[in-house]
Amino acid sequence: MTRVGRALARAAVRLHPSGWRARYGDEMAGLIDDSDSSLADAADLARSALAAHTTGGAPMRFETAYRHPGPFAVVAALLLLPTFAVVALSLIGHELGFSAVADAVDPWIAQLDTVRILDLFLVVAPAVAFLVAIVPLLDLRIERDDPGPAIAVRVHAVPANLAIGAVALLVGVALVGHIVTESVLRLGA
Amino acid sequence: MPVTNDPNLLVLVSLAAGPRHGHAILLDVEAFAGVRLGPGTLYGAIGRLEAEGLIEPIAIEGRRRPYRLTDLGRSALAGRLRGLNDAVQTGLRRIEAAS
Repeated sequence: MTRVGRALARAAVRLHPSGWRARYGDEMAGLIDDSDSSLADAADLARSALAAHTTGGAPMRFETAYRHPGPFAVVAALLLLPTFAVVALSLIGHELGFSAVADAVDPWIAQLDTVRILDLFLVVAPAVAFLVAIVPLLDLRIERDDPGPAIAVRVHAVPANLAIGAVALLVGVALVGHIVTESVLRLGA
Repeated sequence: MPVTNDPNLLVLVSLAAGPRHGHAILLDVEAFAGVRLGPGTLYGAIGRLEAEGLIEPIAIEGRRRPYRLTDLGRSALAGRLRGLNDAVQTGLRRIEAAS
């Protein structure tokens, strides 16, 4: 419990305003290391962080990774790639009438359908890729305001992440549409 | 029942014995008042007292920074304790008179 309490207490120190951390952060970290920190200490630090934000200092800021969106865009693209390929080739083969493509791809898709974990990955990947691409662009702040604290959400417009997020959304919608259509057709048959 | 839950007062009383860093203040307060201050509560009090000029940091020792009472802090603490003492004496006299 001490290890968990200490880790949570260290995390709670990071919730304090930057000016506060610059002045007392090292001392608080040293105190946490010196004592048997408990969950109560972590709660006490979280409360003092809230107090520090509401009585002075900079607004509380939940920074995501928007300063380094590139790696998240790459991971999102890699996650999305297999589903994108399957959906794109299916559309080309079946919707655009390129039967040669359909003949080449259909056996592969039928094979993928038999491996449950791969099938599940292909279905879930667009949603995960969307989150990986878009969440790092969010910047959430709790600011002092009258009559009470206000939550401000900003979205950093990074083209690569927005583009991959949009493609993931389109692929996801296409995939869900396909699954729903197949299900309805099966029920009607 | 603890002597007081006022962290500012507890920190000032602890530092009245001489300079101490955060962990030493926690241990001292627990010993003389039976109150275990949380680290956030402690540094909240230290921040307020430092801002009011009642305590001041001295040379840092590793990651530990000791604090000491300023002259203003010593006189403020003395005034506060005299006020509390007056209240305590009044309360005791009234209890004795009522019994």
